[in-house]
Amino acid sequence: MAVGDCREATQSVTRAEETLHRHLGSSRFYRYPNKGGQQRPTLHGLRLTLIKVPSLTFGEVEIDETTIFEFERGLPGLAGLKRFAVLESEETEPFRWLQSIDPPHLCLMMIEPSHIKPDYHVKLNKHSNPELGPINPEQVLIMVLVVVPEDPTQMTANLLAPIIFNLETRKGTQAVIDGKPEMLRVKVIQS
Amino acid sequence: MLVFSRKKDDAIIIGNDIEIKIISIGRDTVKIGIEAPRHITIHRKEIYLAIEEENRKAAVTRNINASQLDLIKNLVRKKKT
Repeated sequence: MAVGDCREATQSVTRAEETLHRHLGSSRFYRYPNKGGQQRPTLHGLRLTLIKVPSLTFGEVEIDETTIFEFERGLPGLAGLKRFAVLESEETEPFRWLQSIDPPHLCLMMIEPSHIKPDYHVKLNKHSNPELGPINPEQVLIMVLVVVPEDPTQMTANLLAPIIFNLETRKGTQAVIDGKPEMLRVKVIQS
Repeated sequence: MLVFSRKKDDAIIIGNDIEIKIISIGRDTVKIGIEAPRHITIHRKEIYLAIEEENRKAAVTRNINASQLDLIKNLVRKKKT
């Protein structure tokens, strides 16, 4: 890859972030994965293809198409949704958002399961979830969906069916782990 | 619905590559074994239905306003430290 290409890509990333900030006001949204200062491993010198997605929670957000996760199997109960982006923001840590691309609007709240259960783990192998493609354990993000009732202190997370993201293949799935049905609704804030 | 009577160790073939075998028969429970290609997902129905329900509930969690989010954020962070 020529150096020029690289610089162009970096510039377009910066532009994209500026646009994001314009749209989101003070919120800082990043395409996942992107921790401050780190290389952006998904870009590989590619130019960004930004698409605009109306999100009920955040208004219109711009998402780099190359960072979208494909959920071949969709999510149970939410038929037809196959493409999602992960939105994250320093301001809403430790929550992240699963934003549907088509149809848009739908935005699900997620939290890292370690916030609820520090020893939480999911067994993954190439046989259990072939829809994720080849799995490199260091390139996997595991999140759980959060349900917020009227009283937000009572919110629960679904630890039985975590959302698995393969950051390399950009495939995602909702897995079901072995466990008791109570794990479907685990209180996020335990008193 | 197609209904079969099967004895212990009998099996049913669905399509070319799905086999359902009766492993044991107890008083109230039957133990069944399923062999199917990897791309076929198999769930206990009540669990699958419950996951569907939780997902739908998570999908209507969209109207969280900024102050609610602040509250839960702080609660979660406080817990962690």
